[in-house]
Amino acid sequence: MVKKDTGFQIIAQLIMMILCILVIFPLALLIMSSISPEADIVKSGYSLIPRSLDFSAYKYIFGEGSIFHSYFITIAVTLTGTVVGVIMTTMISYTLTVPGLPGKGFISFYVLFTMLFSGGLVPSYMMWSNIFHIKNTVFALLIPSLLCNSFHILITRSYFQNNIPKEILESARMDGMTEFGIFFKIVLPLSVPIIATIGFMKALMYWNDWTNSLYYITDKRLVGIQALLNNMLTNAQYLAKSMDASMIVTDAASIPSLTLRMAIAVVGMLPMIILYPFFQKYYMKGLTVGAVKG
Amino acid sequence: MNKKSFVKQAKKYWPFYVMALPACVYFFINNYIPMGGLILAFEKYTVSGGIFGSKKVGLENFRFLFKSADAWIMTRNTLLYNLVFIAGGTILAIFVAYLLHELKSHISRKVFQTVILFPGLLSIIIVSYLANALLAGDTGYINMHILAPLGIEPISFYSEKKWWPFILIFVHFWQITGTNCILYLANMSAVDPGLYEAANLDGADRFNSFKNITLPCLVPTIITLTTLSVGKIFNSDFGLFYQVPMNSGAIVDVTQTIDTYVYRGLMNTANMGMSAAAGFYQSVVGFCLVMIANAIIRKISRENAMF
Amino acid sequence: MKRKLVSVLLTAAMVATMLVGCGESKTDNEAGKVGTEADQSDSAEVEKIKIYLPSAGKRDDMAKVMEAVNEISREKIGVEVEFKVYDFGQWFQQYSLFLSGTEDVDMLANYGGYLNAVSQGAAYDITDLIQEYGQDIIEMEGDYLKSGEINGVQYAVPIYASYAWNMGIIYRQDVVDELGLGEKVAQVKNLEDWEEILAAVKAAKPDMTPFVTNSGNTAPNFQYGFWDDLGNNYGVLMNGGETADVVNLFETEQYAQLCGVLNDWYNKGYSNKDIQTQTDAFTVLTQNEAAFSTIGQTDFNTAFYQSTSCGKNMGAILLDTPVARTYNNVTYTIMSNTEHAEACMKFMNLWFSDKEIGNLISYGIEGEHYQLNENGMGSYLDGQDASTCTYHLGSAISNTNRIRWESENPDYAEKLVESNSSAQKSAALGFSFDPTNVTNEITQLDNVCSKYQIGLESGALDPETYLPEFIAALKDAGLDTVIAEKQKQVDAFLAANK
Repeated sequence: MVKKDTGFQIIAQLIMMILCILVIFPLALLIMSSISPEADIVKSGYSLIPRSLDFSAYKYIFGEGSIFHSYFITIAVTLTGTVVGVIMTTMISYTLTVPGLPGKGFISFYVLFTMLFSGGLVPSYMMWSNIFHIKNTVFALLIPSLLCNSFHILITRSYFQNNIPKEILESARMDGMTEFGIFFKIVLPLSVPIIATIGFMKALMYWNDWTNSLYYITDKRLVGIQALLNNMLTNAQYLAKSMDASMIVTDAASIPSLTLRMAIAVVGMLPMIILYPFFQKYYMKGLTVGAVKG
Repeated sequence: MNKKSFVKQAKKYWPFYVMALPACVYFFINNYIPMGGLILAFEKYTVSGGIFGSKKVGLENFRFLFKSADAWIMTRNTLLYNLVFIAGGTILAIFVAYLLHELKSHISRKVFQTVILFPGLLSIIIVSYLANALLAGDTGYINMHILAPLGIEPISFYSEKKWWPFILIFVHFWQITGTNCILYLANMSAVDPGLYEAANLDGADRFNSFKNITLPCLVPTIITLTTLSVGKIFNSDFGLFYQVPMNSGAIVDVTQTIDTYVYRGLMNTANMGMSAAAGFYQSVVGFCLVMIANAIIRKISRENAMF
Repeated sequence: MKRKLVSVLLTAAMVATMLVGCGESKTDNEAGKVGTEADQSDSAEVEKIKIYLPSAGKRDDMAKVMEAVNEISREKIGVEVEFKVYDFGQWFQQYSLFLSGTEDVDMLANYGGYLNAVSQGAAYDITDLIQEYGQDIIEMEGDYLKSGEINGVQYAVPIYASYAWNMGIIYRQDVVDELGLGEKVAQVKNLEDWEEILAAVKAAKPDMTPFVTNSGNTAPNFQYGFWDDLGNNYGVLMNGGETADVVNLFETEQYAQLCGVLNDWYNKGYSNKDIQTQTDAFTVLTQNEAAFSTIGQTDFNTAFYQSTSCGKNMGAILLDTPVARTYNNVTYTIMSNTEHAEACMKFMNLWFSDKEIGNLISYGIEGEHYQLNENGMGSYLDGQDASTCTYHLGSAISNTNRIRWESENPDYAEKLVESNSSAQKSAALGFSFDPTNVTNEITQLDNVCSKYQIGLESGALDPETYLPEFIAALKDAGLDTVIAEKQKQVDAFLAANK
């Protein structure tokens, strides 16, 4: 690349460092407050250096017992959903880049339209639960609203349009490769960076989703991690705010509601942070493939 | 004759239709079938009538959106914030992606790239508590640890309007830049390095090679993302405008968007028809704008148009 | 071309939705048929009903407890029940789905009012059913049953709770004792008097905020005020419903004066600068030694209840005599599309009156999920607690129809009945406001309130400047229309109940 650019490198490093501090600072507050005693935060605010340590929020979360099971459910669903979703997305995106394909405009419109209009929760819920009977099955976590998303399709399409050289495809066709062969053996390997990107975005959607679990799952064995955490949180909040003396006998005094929020955020995002470097590897790979293709 | 050639053409392309089929079927079931629910926007829903048999009330459900004295304020806020988010967000994401892409040290690249993604992993509710940790009047970090040592009077952020446009924009960028920038990064990493070398040999400086090589490669993605955001221009991230300002009444004038107005108006009445009407209104505006944007792009460069 | 696309898509969507529609109406018809058949062969076989409700309690052993409940109810009324229990978090998000009639619900708990159920036609008209099968409920609830009535039609049964209350001050009794303020506290008669105590606490306990709001920024501070709010604050009866004149609360002297007191406290630093965005409830703040007092709903049991939930010794001062008003915070309704309305009503009555069932549903099976201590109060089994026991639902339809838990006030049941039956009653007791005709105004009024109400009622806004602004904005949003509508409905209600 550009030769004499130590100056640029230093400035770029500096800017990135400042940005990262902006990002890390609130996160440090988050982590520190999740291990501080609730009373300290309520009285004197959040602090970077906890005056004393208190893991009761984590004890409460892990005390529920089912948390590891829920992790397992979410990881399984995330992996399956991401793989299936990415395959469906890349296939239709590739179709949308084929020059001269009859009906291409219609399909694009068909895809885009789903992003603009939505029938709302009640009709979807009725359909999925009364016609497809997916309540309390693992499909309820995988399919409704998450599997395929027009946003991902359209950005993948613009990547394909821009970065897959038409000549390679033409010569492969000359060699007598089938269209499926071309797609899986040539197009996909050339698209590793975008696959990693939408894969990550999809994984993030699956990982963070708790609404499907909320609406379609009542069986405890199928509750995902975010739904479980979200439930703990809303329960704790409800109990803390409830003035209706007559309805609650259970002792609410022991639930740490403030630090619990923070601990829940940490517990919820930790696995994704661990998982991310795995995705990141493919950005580097994308570079080398890109270098070969020209 | 014309029809025949279409069929013939279509036959030739059958593998592509097969590839598009799974997603098309999925959209049909997941999105198009429930769209029947849009009819709720024109009904007074009752259990016995169901979605299709309830009493039709015409445009009655839409009235609350326009009657209010806030109608202008909420529309203005929604539009202006979204414009800043679209323009600023694109520039910022490309800028950060470019810096990351050009960094030579692989280790710092890896670290920075991971770190900037963290905020995207947090739910907006948690973000609102972090913002509160920084901004609170008595216990907030900014007032206690930054302004107080400097001898500056504490600022009561949650009751002063002037800060909020900046705070909301900052929080939004803080949260989404990481995820947006990996998209551009993916596109940048696909650019043939040979092009840069050639440009370098021709004596192009960094700015020129960015302008002539990197940017053109990003144009399709920029266009796609912008068109899609334009379609959502009447929508807003509810959490950002409701949770982050902690539902503070004093700053409603600069935090009210269509979504928060609908929420505040309907939280006690949970009227299905009226919330459907609000969604429908946002969608129709978005739809029209996308069609206009697409028509303009088509005129300028056919290749980059959506359809 | 574009137009064609749109029309193709719309047709596709229509066809698809018709498919959904067909499936739906078919099941509806079937349901109707089965319903009439079931009515005829009612006595012969056991009817099964599903009851949906939220609870924060433990329910791992649900099946076993239900078996025990059903044994009794099968024999007594020929009904078997199944409880579908949701966590509170899940409940509030799913409630609208239950109301839309998509779920197989027979009987439903309503938290925070049942008006939405009525306006969506989801609540069954139980006017006749309750006469036939709900005698125990009628006898116990008396006048209070009217809270479940709109326009002369009974839709809901309110749980038997504490109906008589007024605004009061809730405070840390232990702090008062520690600072020797007991005598001064005993003399507090109104809100202004409290200032002296706040000043003393501020001086002695710099870490503790003397005054906070009750539920943070989620509800206005005067939610439980001296007036009968008739369902919402748009048109109220002052002095707990002394007369049936619906007035604009925000224009009353009392309201301005209360806001003034709170603003004074705010300026003097007895409350936090961020009081209007306070995120935590009084309970949480008290648990963490961060708050001294608040104002809120107060009755005979408040001090006791708050002591339990805050884990501190708490006191309460009533600022006026308790008044009974319409109560519909927690009610049970029967779903309009159920096939088992009679069975539901029978079971509701049984749950209301049969102590054995009441205990089973609340606490489970004696000896297995709870035990009685020497005072005859319930407690967890030895070695168990709230988190390890396998059943402790806590839900009840009548608070007198069960044994008391060890953390409760031992005399609660007797005192509750006494308080409910002897209390002064609002002129509009039992009136529920039907907002259908003024929905548009209410969406706007709610928006205006979100701008001013929390700020004014917590004291953060100066009423001198902001109260007139608030009132003007409310009038612009149509407050007078709503008040007129309310007055009309109140008059009709009173005429019908003469």
